[in-house]
Amino acid sequence: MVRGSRVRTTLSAISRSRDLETAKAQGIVGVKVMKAQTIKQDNLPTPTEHSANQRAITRSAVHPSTAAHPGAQVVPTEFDQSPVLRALRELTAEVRSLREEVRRLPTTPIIDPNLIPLITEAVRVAFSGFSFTPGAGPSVQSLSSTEERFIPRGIVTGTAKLDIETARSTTGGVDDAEAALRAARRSRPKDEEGQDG
Amino acid sequence: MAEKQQILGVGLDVGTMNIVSARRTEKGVETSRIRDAFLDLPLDSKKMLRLSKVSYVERGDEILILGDAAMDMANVFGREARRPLSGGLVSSTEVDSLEVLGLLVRNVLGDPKVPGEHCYFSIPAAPIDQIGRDVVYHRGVFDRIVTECGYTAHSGNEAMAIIYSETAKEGFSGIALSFGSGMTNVSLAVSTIEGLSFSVGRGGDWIDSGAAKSIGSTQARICALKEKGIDLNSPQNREQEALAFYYKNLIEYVLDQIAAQFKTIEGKFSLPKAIPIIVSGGTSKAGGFIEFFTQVFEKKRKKFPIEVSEIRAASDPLNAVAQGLLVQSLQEYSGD
Repeated sequence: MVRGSRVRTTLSAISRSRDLETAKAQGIVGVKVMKAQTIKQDNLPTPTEHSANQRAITRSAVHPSTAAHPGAQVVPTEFDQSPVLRALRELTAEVRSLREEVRRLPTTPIIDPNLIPLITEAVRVAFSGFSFTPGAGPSVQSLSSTEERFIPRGIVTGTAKLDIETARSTTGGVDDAEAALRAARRSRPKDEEGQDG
Repeated sequence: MAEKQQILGVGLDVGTMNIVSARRTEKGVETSRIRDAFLDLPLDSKKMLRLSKVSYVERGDEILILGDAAMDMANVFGREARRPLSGGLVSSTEVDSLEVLGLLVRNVLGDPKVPGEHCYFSIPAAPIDQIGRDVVYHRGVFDRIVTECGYTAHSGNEAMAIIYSETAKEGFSGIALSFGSGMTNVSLAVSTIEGLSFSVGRGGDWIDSGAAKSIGSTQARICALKEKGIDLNSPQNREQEALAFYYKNLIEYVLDQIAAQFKTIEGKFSLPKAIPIIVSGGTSKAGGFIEFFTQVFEKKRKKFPIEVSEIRAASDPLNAVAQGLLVQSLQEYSGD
């Protein structure tokens, strides 16, 4: 190594040098790393109308050759891509026109809003006798009476021993009340019997 | 061998917060109570529940904790316990509620002493301030549950049950107020005859919710504070003041409704003498409630259309309804 003159060497070689750290500390050598160069391309096609569909169809898919190498000649291949590209463009245009059409449609529901509760109720009544289980067809329950479906039978099915707070009090109040009530009812005229709650 | 005499008949109070049964035994009146609440948990919680010795019920791919344990475990899991009843009536939004109610009632009632033993269960009066809410379905559900438990079911008005248990010395005349969790029930009776019965859709839950909203707190916190103990006549902080404010509002509202409803039957129903007001229900357990109620009433007494002899608390506010229903069920075996 010659002091005072620039030394041309590779970065990997410098990295391997055992004296590198010492040399750097003494200011004998300096390491310069080349930055990557960015080349601005002016001849790219201008972006078309923004559409959510661009997420699905990328520019390179529509113009594969120009996107990859702007300004370069399209190299003819054995497979002619132009019919595919044309079809893609037509599809894109069709999707756009359909979207426009949907956007123009009225936002209010076609069904009269007054009818919706009636339809909901009719559907509910029609299906109230069925139970739906994933993977199984609808099973018809017994339809013996309306009341049976309104308040189901078999509410008290399980048995469980739960923690219950129990207390015991004197019977005085209840016994007195029971005796007094019996006496009051006995003495009450018969025409009032039916009014008791 | 002499056959042991059995005392038959049972009363069942179905409330938004508690389910209480009352039976007359040889040793006295026995009341059983369970919290009307449940909590659903995934199956994998089973092991932990076994360790904590909490009773649970398996149902499909979940387990249910019922009663008081549900409230405790809800705090452990940071969840809100579910209530089968909402605003005093069977909750239409709790799809699992019927099955849960069946289990709770069965546990509280136990097996009938004889097949078809008479059981009176409580039903609220239709709320006058909640149009569209009626008690028909509620009554039908509990009629079926009690029947499926093996009893002969009879429904009885909640506030009238208080008249039966608490006003024997006045010849079953009085105004009974049942301040419950979901609603407040009112009955006016003279000599056992029911003159007026209605309910309002405000109760303990309404107080908790209102007080919580007014001070930016939660309903659960306010409820816990209330149950911890509060003196309505001397609130100590902002939260207690909010509670006292809503208690006052509820009492005024109930008294106004009694006055308004009484006007509709005035002339058709005679009150020969002054009658007592009996105050009952879990919400009336707050400290100083009777004094507080009396103060509010005295301000309205002049315009109140009924002459009131006294205002007193039920002898056992949490069990008064069940005991009144027990009195009615005992009548079924009185032989008259």
